[in-house]
Amino acid sequence: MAKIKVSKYEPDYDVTPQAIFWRALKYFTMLIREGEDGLDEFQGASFTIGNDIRFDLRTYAGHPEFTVTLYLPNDVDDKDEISRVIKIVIRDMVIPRNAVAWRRGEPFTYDGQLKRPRGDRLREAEARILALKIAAQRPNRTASTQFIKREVPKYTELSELDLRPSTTRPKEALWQQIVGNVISHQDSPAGPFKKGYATRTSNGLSVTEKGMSYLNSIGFLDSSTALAE
Amino acid sequence: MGQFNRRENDNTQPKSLAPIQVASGEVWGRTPRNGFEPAVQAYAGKLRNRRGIDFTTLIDPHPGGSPFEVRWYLTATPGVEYRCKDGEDFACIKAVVTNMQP
Repeated sequence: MAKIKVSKYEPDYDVTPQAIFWRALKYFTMLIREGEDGLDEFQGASFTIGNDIRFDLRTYAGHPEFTVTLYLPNDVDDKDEISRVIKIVIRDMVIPRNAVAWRRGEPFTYDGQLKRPRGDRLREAEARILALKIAAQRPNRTASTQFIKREVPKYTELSELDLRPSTTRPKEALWQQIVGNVISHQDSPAGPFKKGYATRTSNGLSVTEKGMSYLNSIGFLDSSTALAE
Repeated sequence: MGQFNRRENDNTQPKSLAPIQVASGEVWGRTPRNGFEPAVQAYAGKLRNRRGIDFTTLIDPHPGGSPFEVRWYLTATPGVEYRCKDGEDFACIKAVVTNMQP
């Protein structure tokens, strides 16, 4: 299991932007701090993977909503090393491929605009983890399906594809159906119940210790949180 | 010529600074925290429904920027000038500045 540690402390290095993800900062971690530097005020979090990878995720006040920028230390300036670290961060934080709006090496213009990647929408694999993240923050790590559905739009910007009507559940959009599937498909081998990350409740799910450990391993929780309660 | 902006905030882009930047045709920047030399920092593109300054400059930013933000380092970016005020070093770029906080 990957092991990303989130730090409470500000980094002791200057940073360079290396990738942009189309998700809210709260999607990635609960341990968010306020900061300010020569560019502007920001919300951010610092992480480590093993002994050699350090990185920050930040959203500055002037960045577009629902975007997060990945920053690496300035001394990481080799193209191949930057590419390697970006891939590791994406893999270990389980960031969907379609959520990557830009990464170093891809062309861009300095116009402050970025198109959302085509095909970026909430899929069941992502919804499984998102449901755990949302429930993990609730009392007793338990949340109803209704609550999870209410919270999801705070973590990821719903795209036109997400908002298409469900073909099987009248009055629901596609993304709502997908979130509902996570809870109702109890026997799915890749689902949170079969993996032992959650138990089914009467109207939703409850995150287990194993589920908290998983969220801890992808940097979502402060490492002390999984042991709390 | 690139189009950039700085958003008004209490500490690094206070309201009082914009008229000075417009009059001087210069945008300055301090050494970033844990950085090794002064750098002008800005957002890419125009301000959108926010207070601050828009500016254009003929000086290309450092290639380490992103679609959202840029820097001009004092020694690592050609065309950047040195300024010193009250003993502190600054990076400076010449720019046409528009005050967007009337």
